[in-house]
Amino acid sequence: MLFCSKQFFLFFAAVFVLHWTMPWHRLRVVLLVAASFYFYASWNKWLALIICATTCMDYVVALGIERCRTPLHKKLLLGVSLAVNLGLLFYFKYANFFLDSLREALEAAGASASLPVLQVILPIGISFYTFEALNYTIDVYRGRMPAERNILHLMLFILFFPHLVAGPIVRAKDFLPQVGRRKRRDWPRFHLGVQFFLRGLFKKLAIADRLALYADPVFGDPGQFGTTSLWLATLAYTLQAYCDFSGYSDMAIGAAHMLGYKLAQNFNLPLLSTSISEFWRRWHISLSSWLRDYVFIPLGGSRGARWRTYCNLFITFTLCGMWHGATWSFVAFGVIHSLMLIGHHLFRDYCGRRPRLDAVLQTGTGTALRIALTFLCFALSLVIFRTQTLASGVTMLERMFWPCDGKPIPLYMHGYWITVVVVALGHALAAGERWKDLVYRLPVPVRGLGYATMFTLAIVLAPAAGRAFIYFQF
Amino acid sequence: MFRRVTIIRTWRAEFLWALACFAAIQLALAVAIERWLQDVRDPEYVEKLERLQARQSETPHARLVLVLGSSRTLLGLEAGRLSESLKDENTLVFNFGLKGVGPRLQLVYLRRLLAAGVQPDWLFVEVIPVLFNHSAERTLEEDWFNGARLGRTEVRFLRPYCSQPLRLMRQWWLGRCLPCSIHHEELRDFLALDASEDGLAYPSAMGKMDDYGWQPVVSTVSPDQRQRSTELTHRQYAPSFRGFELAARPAQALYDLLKLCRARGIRVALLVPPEGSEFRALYTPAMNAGADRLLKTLSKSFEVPLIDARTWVPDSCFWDSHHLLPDGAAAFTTRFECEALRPLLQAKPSPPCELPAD
Repeated sequence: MLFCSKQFFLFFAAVFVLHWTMPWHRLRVVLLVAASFYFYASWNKWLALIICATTCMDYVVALGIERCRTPLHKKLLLGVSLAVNLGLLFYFKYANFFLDSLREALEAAGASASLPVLQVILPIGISFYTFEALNYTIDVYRGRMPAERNILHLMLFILFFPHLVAGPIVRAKDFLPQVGRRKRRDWPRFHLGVQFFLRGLFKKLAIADRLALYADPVFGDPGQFGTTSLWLATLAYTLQAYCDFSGYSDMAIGAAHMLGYKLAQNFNLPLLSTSISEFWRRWHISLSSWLRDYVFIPLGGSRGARWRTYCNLFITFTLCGMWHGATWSFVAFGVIHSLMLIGHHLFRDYCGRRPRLDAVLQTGTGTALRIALTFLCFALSLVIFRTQTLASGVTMLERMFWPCDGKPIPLYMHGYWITVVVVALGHALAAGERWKDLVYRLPVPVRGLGYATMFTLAIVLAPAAGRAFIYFQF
Repeated sequence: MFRRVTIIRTWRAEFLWALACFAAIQLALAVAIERWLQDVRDPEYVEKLERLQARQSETPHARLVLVLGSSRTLLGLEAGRLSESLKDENTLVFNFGLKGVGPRLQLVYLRRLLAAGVQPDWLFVEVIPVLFNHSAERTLEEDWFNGARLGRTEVRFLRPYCSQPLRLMRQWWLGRCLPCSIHHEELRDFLALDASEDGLAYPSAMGKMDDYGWQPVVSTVSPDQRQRSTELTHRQYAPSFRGFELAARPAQALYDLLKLCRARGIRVALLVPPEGSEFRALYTPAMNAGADRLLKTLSKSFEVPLIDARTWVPDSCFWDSHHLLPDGAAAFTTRFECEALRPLLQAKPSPPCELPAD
C-alpha cells in the first residue's frame, strides 16, 4: 500500500491508536513488528517471509560474531551474512541482467548460448533492507555496536514499515537504542511528524505526480518530441524525482516521529548544491553515507595517491548506479556521476592554485553559476537514468543538443509553470532558513488554515492515476 | 515546564484550527458544487447542455430531436451527420448520451433539461433490456450510480426508484463531506490542469466530443484488444443475465418518463441500441421474453414506436460487443436515419390516448 493511499491512512491510524493506547513497551514493539510484516505482506507474503528469515539469520550471525574469539571465525560468520544477503540481492535483482548481458555478448561474438531466463519477482525495497542488514552485521563485526539480544528489536529495525520499502537506509546503531527505550506520548514530536508527513504528501501528490504528466509521454518516446519539449520534460523529471523521493522520505520520517522513532534526514536541498560533491552530501544522504562508510573507505578512500582516490570514486559510484537498478542505463548513470566527481576533484585542485578564480566562484554570481551547472549536470544524468534503454537516452540527449522539430508536450503548460514556480519558491524559503521564523510568527489560525489548504491541494492536485514512488522499484 | 505546556497548547490549537479550516474548506466547496458549480458536480452533463444550447442558438426555430441514452448512444450516434442531412427540414438532432445512464437517470436528466428550458420536439429514449432485470441485490444501473453528481433534490426524487436508496444517499453525503477527494478530477478539469491542447483530459481512449454530442473512440481496435474488451464486458454483465425478474423501479422510471413526455407534448420513441452477437448470446430466453413483453407493453400503452436496432450492425463494428467503433457509428446512424428517424419525423402525430394505470 502506498503512503498516499486511503488504505495506508486507515492502516496507520489503527497502528497509531493501538501503539499509544498500549501501556507496555514490549507489546508496542510486537505490534509494530506485526504491523510492519502485514504492511510488506500486503505486497507479497512469501517475500515478507524471506525478509524475516534473513533477519533471523543475521541475528544468529551477529551473536556468533560477538561470541567468537578468533578473527577467522568472525570473518567467516560475517562472510555468511554477506553471502546470504548479497546473494539474495544478486539473485532477485541482477541475475537476469547478467544473464541477458552474457547472452548479448556471446551473440555479438558469434556464439550462441541458451541461457536460462529466471522468473523472479523483485521484492520491493530489497536494496534498502539488504544494506541495513549488512550495516548491522558489519558494525557488530567491527565492534562499533553490540549484537542485539532481542530478535524482535532486530526485526523491527529491518521491517519498520515507514522506512522498509524506500528508505532512508537506517543505521542499526542509531535505531536499535530507540527500540529499547520506552516511548512517552510527546505531542511536540507528534506535531513535527504531522508536519513532515503533510509536507511529503504535498510534494508527492501535488508536485511529483503532476510533473510526471509532462515527463512521461516525452521519456516514453523521445524521438517524437522537439528540442524544447525534451528540455521541459527533463526539468520536469528532475523536479519530479526530487519531490517524489524526498516526499517519500518526509512521509517516512513523519510517520516514524508519530510513532516515537527518529529517522535520519535523507535530503538537504540537493538542488541548491554548488558542486557534484556537495550534491551527494545532500541527495539520498543515507545511501551516499552508507557507500562512503562501507565501500569507499574500505577501498582506501581518499588516502593514498590521487589516482587511487579516483579509482575508489569510480568503483563506489558505479556500484551506486547499479544499486538503483539492473540495466546498463543505471550503470551508465553511476559511471557518469563518478566521472563528474573526479572532474570536480580535478577542478577543485585547479582552483586551489588560482585564488582569484576561486574568489570569483565564491561571489553571488559565481555561486549561482555553480548551482546552475550542478543542476544541469544532474538533470542531464537523469536523462540516462529515466529512459528505458541507453540507446534512447543517447537519442534524447542528441535531440536536446542538436535542435530538431517534433511534437509539443500534449498538455497545457500553465500547470507546469505554476508547479515549477512553487518548487522554486519552496527552495528559496527553505534556503533562507528563515521560513521557520516566518511560519511560527503567523497567528495560530493562519497556520491551521495553511495546513488545511496544503492537505486539500495535495488531494485535489493529485492526478487521476495514483503512481507508485519512483524508488520503490529499487 | 511552563514553556512545554505552552507549546503543547499552541500545537493543540493549531491542530484544531487545521481541522476546523479543513472542514470549512470542504463545506465551502460542497455548497459551491451543490449550488453554482454544476460543471464540477456533473461536468459531462454541463458540457452536453452547453453544446446543445449553442446549436439551438444557431438554429433557434429548428425542430429539436434529442437522443437520450448511455455510453452506447454517446459513442454510437453521429447526430451531426443527421442534422446536416435534415437541415432542409429545419431539424436539429442532438446526441445526449452520457456514460452510466439508464432509465432512472434518463428521467433525472430529462427533468433537468426541461428545467433548463430545453423542450425537445422528439425524444428517442435508449432502452437496454438488461437494465430492467432484477437478478442481483440491485440492478446494473444502480451499480453505475454516482450520487455525488446529483443535486440534493434529485437524490430525494430518485430515492423511491432505488432498491438501495441508502447507498445513493451515502454517495451523495460522501461527495458533500469530502468534495476535494470525490470531485478532485472535476476540480482539476475546472482549473484546466489536466487538459491537453486538443481539450482532452490526459490520457484518454475517447476522442473529442463533436458539436452535436457524439464522442467517438479514438483508435481502431486490434482483434486481441477486442477479445479482451469483450471478455471484460462478459464479466461485467454476465451476473445480470441470470434469469429474469422484472425490476419494478427502473420500469416505473421509464413509465414516468413517458408520462412526463406525454404531459409536455414531447413525442417519444423507444430505441434498443445495437449489440454484437456475443452480447446478444448472453440473453436467456426468459430475459428476451420478459424484456420484449415490457417494451411492447409500454410501446402499446403509450403508443410510442419501438425501434429494435440490436442486429443492425455487424460484429466487426463493435469495440467490446456493445459499444460501437466510429465505422459502426456511421453504419448505425445511416440506418437509423433511413429506417427510424425520417419515417417518424414525417408521420403525423396521433391524438393522445388515455394514460394507462401505473
